Amino acid sequence: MTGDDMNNLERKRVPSSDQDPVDRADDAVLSDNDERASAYPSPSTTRDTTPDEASVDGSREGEQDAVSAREGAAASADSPLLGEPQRVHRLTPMLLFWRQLLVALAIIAFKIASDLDFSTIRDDFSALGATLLIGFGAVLLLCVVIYLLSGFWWRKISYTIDADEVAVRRGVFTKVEKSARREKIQAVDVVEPLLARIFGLAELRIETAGGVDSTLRIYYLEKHRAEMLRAELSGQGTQPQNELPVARTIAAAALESSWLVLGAILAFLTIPALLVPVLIGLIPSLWRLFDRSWRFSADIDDSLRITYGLANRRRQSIPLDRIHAVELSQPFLWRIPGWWRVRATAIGYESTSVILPVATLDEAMDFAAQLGVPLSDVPHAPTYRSPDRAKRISPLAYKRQAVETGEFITIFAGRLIRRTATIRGLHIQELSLSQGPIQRALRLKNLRLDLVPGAVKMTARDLDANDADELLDILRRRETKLMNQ
Amino acid sequence: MRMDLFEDANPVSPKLTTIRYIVVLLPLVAVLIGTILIAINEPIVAISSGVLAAIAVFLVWLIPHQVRLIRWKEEENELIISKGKMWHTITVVPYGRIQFIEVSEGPLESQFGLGTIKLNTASASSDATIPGLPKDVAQELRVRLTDRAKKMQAL
Repeated sequence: MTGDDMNNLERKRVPSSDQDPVDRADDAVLSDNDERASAYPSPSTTRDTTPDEASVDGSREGEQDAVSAREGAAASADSPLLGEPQRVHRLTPMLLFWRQLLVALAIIAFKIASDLDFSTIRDDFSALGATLLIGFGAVLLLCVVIYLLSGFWWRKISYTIDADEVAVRRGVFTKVEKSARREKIQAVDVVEPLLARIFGLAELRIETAGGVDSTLRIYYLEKHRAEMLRAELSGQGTQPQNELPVARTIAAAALESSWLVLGAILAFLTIPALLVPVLIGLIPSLWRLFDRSWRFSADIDDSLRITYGLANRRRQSIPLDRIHAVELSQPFLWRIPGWWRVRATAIGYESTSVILPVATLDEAMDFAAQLGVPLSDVPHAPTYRSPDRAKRISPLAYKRQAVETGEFITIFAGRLIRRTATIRGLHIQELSLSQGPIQRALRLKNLRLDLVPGAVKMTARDLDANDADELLDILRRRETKLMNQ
Repeated sequence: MRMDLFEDANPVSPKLTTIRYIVVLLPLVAVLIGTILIAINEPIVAISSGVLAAIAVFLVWLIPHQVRLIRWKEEENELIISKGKMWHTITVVPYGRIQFIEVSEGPLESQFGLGTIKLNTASASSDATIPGLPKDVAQELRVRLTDRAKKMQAL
């Protein structure tokens, strides 16, 4: 797991509202660009620059000299609400340039290694020592020089919080200022990327009501200061600590991945050469299993706020009215402890999927109820069920496939991996009724509910053809009723 | 198939059959001729010629059926599109959910005076396109749908 990968993971979990579509299309490459773009504010503001820069074209201001004379770390002990510009942590430029630093180090190391004449080393250890010393000296000097130079850029980064407004200014050649009215703030998240976390630093993300570029980012701040600002800006105290026990995360991940691991071991035993590719394939998915439920905690009022993460701690806040579809699912071996997972599709938060990683059925149903969504593991009063003849297409799942209608449309599916997904009728976008050749012979049809993009997909499979037609009509009437209201 | 939904539905232009023949069959026939030429020296290749010929014959039969089965209909609150011979699909797009509408003309379509209309909602999973509409019909439909989408969203 390299730092790069972690960074990408971190970016993927960020609500998509602060990413442009291009960014999402190629996380691996663009998240890199993104960071570099924010490290070097360039005069040409293209779509590749960070959202912060792209959105403030109109509001650039002249030189800001009014930065408080206080130096970053010293200032952070004071009250956050001075109404005066505050500096971010002095290490910020270094943390943003770390890739470039690493490249420089690698080049120096390579140069030293290639300069060494290994045939003479045996005789002359002092020569080796001298070369290494020079190398270390060079690296140290480079670091000091970069540190000093970065101060020039660092001095131009500041943020101001007063009674009405939060503002961030940055940029040496291109000045960028972004501000948000405090009453427009929707959510304040503290994000800790891995490298920043090592230094005890964190980023403050301020989400405001609005479209694509509605995130204000202040980075990097000392952790306690970021927490203090979050509490101040969101008007809430610290989060309740009802964290998911680590033991449960590990047990759940072990049960869920046991097939994968077993498969990998079998593959390795038959063809040992497969070890490396199998590991490469396996580790990221195992990592994700741990990462997304690590010390998970959730808190629901008018928004769902979740905190989780192993390397990067992430905090995310989703307004409840943005949540469209909710799905309860159970990986096969989770039947033993009786655990379930809750996933959701939220409009504008495409990257969000798991909103409750591991829970007992009661906890999961209670959680869904708090979101205002009724969910259950088995159908209580199904409107339609797959007929017995559907077993020729879905030999296992047909017994569980069912649909419940009402204010919520609920679809039950999956025999080995049980799934229940539900959505309010008014959130359904389009409807697709389909029938393949085998289904035609069996007089069965699928009805897919086309939803906003996200983790939850809803298709009522292998319904009796007449039932499917009827369900389509019910859902169409719902739409008509909605429109006539 | 729900015939009740489609008794008075609109068909698309039969010229779409010609376009699909050109797009799908022409390359297939070219490859087929190639394999036949090789088969003169290497008789074993004749198997692939046979398979390709069978596919070609099947497509010659299938494509006009598919085109004939593309139907669309404007209901009070939604546009309904029906498609497919082997895999039949009915897509229901409520006017109120339409975010934007695209009308496109490929070079070949343009030659035949046809266009394709695509309805976009917040969902990305459905295939709400009507290919092979005469240009003026596509434009008129776009105007009507845009209008209805606006009205529905205003409610």
